[in-house]
Amino acid sequence: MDAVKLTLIFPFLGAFLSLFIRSVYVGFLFSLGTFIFSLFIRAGYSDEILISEKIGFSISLYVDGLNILLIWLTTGLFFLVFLYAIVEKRERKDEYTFLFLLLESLLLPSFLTKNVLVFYFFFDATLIPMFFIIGIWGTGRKVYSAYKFLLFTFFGSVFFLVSIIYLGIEFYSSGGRLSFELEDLIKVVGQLDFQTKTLLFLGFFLAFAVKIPLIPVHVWLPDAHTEAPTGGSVILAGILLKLGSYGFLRFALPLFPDVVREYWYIIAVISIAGIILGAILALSQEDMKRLIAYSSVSHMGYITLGSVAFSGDKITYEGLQGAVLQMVNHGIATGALFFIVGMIYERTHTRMIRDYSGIARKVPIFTFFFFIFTLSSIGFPSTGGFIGELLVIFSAMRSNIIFGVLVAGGAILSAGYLLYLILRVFFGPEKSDINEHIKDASFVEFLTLVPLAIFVFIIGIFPGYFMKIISGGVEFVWKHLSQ
Amino acid sequence: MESLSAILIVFLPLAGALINLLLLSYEILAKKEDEHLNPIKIFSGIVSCLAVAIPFLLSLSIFGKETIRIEFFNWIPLEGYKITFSALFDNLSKVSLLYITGVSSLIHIYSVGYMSHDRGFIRYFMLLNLFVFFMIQIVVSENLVQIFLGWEGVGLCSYALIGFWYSGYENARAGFKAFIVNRVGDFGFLVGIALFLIYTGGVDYSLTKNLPSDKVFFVALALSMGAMGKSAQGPFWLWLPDAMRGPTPVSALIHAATMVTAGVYMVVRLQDLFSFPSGASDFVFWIGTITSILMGFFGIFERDIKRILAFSTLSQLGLMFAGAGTSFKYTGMFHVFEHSFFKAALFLISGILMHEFENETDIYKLKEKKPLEKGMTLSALGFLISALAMSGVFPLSGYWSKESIIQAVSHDFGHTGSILMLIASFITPLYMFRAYFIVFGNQKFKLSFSPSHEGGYLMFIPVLVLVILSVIGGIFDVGGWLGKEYGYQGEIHGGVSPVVVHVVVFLSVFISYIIWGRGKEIPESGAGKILWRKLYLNEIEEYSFIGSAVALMKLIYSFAERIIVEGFYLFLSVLARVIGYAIASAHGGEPVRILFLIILGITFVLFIV
Repeated sequence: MDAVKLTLIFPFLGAFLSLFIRSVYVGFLFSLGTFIFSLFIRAGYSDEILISEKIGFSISLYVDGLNILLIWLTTGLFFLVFLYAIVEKRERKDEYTFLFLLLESLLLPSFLTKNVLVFYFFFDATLIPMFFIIGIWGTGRKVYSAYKFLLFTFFGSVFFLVSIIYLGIEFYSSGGRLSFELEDLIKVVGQLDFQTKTLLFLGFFLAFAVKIPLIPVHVWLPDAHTEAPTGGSVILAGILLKLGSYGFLRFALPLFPDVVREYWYIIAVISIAGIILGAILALSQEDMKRLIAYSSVSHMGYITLGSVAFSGDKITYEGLQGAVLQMVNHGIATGALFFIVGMIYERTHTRMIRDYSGIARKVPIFTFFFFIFTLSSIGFPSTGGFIGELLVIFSAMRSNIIFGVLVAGGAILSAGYLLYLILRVFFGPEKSDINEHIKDASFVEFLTLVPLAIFVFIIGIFPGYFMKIISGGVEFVWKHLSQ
Repeated sequence: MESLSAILIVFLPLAGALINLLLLSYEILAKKEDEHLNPIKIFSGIVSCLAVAIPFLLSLSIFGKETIRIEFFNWIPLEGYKITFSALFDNLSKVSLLYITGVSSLIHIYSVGYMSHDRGFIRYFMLLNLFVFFMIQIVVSENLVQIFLGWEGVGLCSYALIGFWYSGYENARAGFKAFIVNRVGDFGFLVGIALFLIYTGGVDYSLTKNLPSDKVFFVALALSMGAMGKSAQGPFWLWLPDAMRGPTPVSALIHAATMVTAGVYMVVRLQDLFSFPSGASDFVFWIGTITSILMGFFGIFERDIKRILAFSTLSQLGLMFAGAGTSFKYTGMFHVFEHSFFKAALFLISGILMHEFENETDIYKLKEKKPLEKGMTLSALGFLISALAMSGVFPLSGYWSKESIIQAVSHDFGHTGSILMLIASFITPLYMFRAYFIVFGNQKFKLSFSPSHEGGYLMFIPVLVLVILSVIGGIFDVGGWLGKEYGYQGEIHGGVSPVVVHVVVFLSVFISYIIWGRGKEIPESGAGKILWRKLYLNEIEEYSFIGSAVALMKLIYSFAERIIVEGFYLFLSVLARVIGYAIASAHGGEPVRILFLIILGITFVLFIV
């Protein structure tokens, strides 16, 4: 049993146990354990679990720079969600615990494997606990949002599955052995003609596009994020969206380098449209959570743009690095913003911006943290968000000057909506009805936010350490794309 | 030893800010917020002052010595190039450090007095220290990304300090406006950095020579947008007058003496990029000149003393830009240096006035509150001296730098330049002496000194030092030093005679005495109203431009997002339901309907594949 396998099994064990010991502390302990185990994971790990010798089917576990940060982010965020859940006012906490541990145990394998079919399985399996989390503990139109979330994501992944099966059959007919391992499939794809490859790529791309989400298949996101309970929004924005962008980097790019090289600019244009439209849509929101949800659309655009920015016929190295780093930054900053909005909502039971005014004096700690994460979101230098955005802007500028200018423009808009939110909610004269109920962060809530705030600055001031880790994974994509 | 000094200069203000952050956390968690001066506040004040004063002394100690360069660490390591976090102390940054840390130290001391009864005392000093840290980053940076760190950092501190009393919505809004307008400028800066990178393969200043000559203009233009934003030039002037809602020492330090001059600093620092003659250099010159004249003109039509000073800052920044747009770039920096003394003095004096007159800022109402005490003689005198220095009267500090700009402009731009500079010189005394006559005119001066009416020693002594510096500022021949640094030799010839300039200046003082010496005013009605509303430029930019952009965004949301995109999906779902029910009713029963849908789905998928 090494760290990777322990990390995989532990949350599953916790989920099982939480069925019998009905307490949120089970979730707390097991997520803490998972987090500690995951810290021992090192990039460069590689292992295979043999499922059936007869048909030669095995599942590979693989850790490199692409996923290691995401694994840490996953285990870390889940731990914080459970830490907060201890003090959170929530009904049926035992089932809540079970579903979140189940979700974690489904998320981790999807980040850890290089087997496309296994990835697909967990990619879709995560929908189930999330569907219930939104549907049971959500607010407002929760059932509608849960269905919308499920249907949209599922729609995309159907085509994904078709593509995977096609590739698997191709490999079986040529190699005589069943395998969905990335390396094996890459060999198969090389023998296909361009049109087939394009269609197969489209299957991959649709699934990821819905998940990321890109415009115009993003409409599930605002509803799901807004109506989900606090922990659900944090995990949705922090990690579930990254499944799409991670899958794109890990599978779609190495499998279909020439398709991407041919059509990268279409994806780039969609991403830029997402960056700008997401920001514009965020600006017109009246609901705090909805605003942050739309900001996710905008920020995920940087990630996809960085992933596909070609300069000439070579993919830009900065773009890939920036994309991976931005996944982590977005997970931290947006996750944390959802935490804070959720905490405030719990006190006031309203998310409408117009119901608030001048709460800064009453909640200085929340104000401070909200401001810190806003800084990262708007790409203020010395926060993680800046490094990611800067690299993506560099890569966009390398690929096309107009792209570069537009992306830099998107970075300005993000300051607009978030600071406008702060202006309306935290500043201004105090409103008596809101300010009577509101209390500042409790100790546990404070503990939940502190590590995230620290990481915002650690990544921003010492990005070198993280970029060194990332480089190993970027090499992987780079190698496949520059052949 | 020298490198230790350098490290302390760069990091002490940050340490001060962090200590204040700890104090602030303690204050909030222990619920010890207090309006009265208490030991925590005193400790915070002392720490903050030291965190800036020590770097000032160290800057003095390294001044005139050889260039120091320290690389702290490799900030962003990348493939093929790297972005370092380093500090370069050459003559330009040493000169800048002197006035930044010097004026900052004085204003920190003044602030202890000014803010002593404010609840947010510690927050204030945390932000002020942080501001100095970021300002120092701007001047010691060796590459475009680190300067951008300082650039955004000072913008952030300015945002937080303008909206310092955030309970007033208008204050918070002014901070927001400043940040957003600056961000628009920073958009150009970011584009400039990225363009610089793709053309030269790095972001260090030293790579400027690798820029292809046909690309220089675009890079310079993009970067100058950042400079204009920070220095509130051209269309970006909007944010500065509103920024006066912050505490007065902040207006003095950030929105007059230091941060707003960062744009000039950048143009001077990147002078290879803005080399004269070139389109970029001309652009900087014209933007500066037009802003200078227009904003000086606007300054006449303003009743709020701080806003008058804000317009005068805009006007003087325009002059610095004009200087930076000539071939003698150091003249812009020279004026930055001298300007910081008298402008800070003017703001601090207006802060003393506000303290005396219950935070009244309207120049007409000041006297209505209560007659000026005889004890305020020194404030009045300080204001007069500073106003004269700003007008460029010999031998006060402003004379030397302004004179060098006028000479440089007339050298490079001939008669057109000379005339424009004379107009600018004419306008400055007009608005400055208008303010002086209305506030201090008709007073019987009795030379007497009463510190309690001058804000107390803590506030008064910094003002005194700044006024003295405004008088003797000419002995710091910054222009000469920097000129030598950049290889300019000898005098500039062929300009306007200083005598002519003085005639214009005194004519202007005389005219303003005639118009406003008896306390009269240009009416705010009729044609005058357009001028009082600043040609409605603010309204045009803010409401019609930004307002329509916001309306467009709302339209995109309500129409494109809610109706077209969401409507499309709604249509699909309704379609599926209709087909399903049609089939179900035809074949009877739910199972058939489901079966049909499955078949339909599979066919659809197979069809696509």
